[in-house]
Amino acid sequence: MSKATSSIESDFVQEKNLSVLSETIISKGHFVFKKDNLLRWEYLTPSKYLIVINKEKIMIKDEKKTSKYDMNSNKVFKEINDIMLSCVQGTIFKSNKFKSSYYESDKYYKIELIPQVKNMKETFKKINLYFDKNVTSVAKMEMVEVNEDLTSIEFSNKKLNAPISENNFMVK
Amino acid sequence: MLNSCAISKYKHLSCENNATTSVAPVINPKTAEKYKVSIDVLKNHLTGLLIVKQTDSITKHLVFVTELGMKMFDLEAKNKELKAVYVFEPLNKPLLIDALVRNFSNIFLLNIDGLMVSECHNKKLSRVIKVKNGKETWYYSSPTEDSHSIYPRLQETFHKNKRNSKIEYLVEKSGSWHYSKITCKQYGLVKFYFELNAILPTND
Repeated sequence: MSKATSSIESDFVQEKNLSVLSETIISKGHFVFKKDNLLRWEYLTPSKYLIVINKEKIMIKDEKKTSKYDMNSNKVFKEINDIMLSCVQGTIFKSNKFKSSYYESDKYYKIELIPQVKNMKETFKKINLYFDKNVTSVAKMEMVEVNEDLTSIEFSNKKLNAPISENNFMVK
Repeated sequence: MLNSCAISKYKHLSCENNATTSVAPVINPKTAEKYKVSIDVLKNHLTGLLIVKQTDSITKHLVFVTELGMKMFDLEAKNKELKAVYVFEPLNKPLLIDALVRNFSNIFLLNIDGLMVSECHNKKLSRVIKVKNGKETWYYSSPTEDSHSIYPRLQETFHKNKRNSKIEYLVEKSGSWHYSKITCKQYGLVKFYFELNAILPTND
């Protein structure tokens, strides 16, 4: 996401490949981001699951329950917040939590991120970010776990700088 | 108190071993099955998807993944034993793992694999099946069906005379019979509640 981009809205398809089962779980949803710290990340299938980040507050709503947390009181949510926002903004490669390498193909710029901090290293082997050459935002993200399970998220129907209602980010 | 009384409804039944009766398995050996799952324990609420798959003739896996794609645990059933082969570090607590293994073993009827089944004589409009293994006893009831294999609607598990858990099954026919919703309450000092809703395959 470039400096000129103030908001981004997109559909996404998440594929989780479980190596031990040779199975893929496909989830679909929609996300909305508005500078600086407003994010709505919503799964629509196979189950409804919503995460809203509004500055220091985070709301998680599943099909049965809504939970609200203060980011500063919970280290795990602070970490989730940092990762989700830096991935959406494409600033994750600037973090000192990762060692980054850069690659280029016909279609994408790819940044490979190798975790450098203990907690992250225990879970992720690497994270790959793919940037469209003609659109200055993340087109695809891959998270490779230590056990070779792979989660990929591909974005489509992207809208940059479209008007976005604050209602999307209400934590109520 | 209530948990101790729960066994009384089964006490008067006379049960006889019946080698031809069996409980229909929840796990389909031919296809992977997916469930939306919620687990409530103390004040914690965890949701995600459970994938259940038989990977070879003697091995089954139950893998729980959150909506965000994080694998929380992988339970492996092999040689009549269910054990955790992976648990996400923050959940890696012996008491929690024991509870997950015991309850998922009961829910997916892995607890009775290879054990002798007794059919109980019962005047009510349901069939009751009893399975015993040492101090553990499991009772299954289902509507009267003229079949050697029953699809239980209720499983109650007892340690000696004390009820450990109550599991209810919603069975539906969509092509073939399948378990569409399963709920499990674990009693005792630390109470667990599990809810599983089957995700039917779509063409999407």
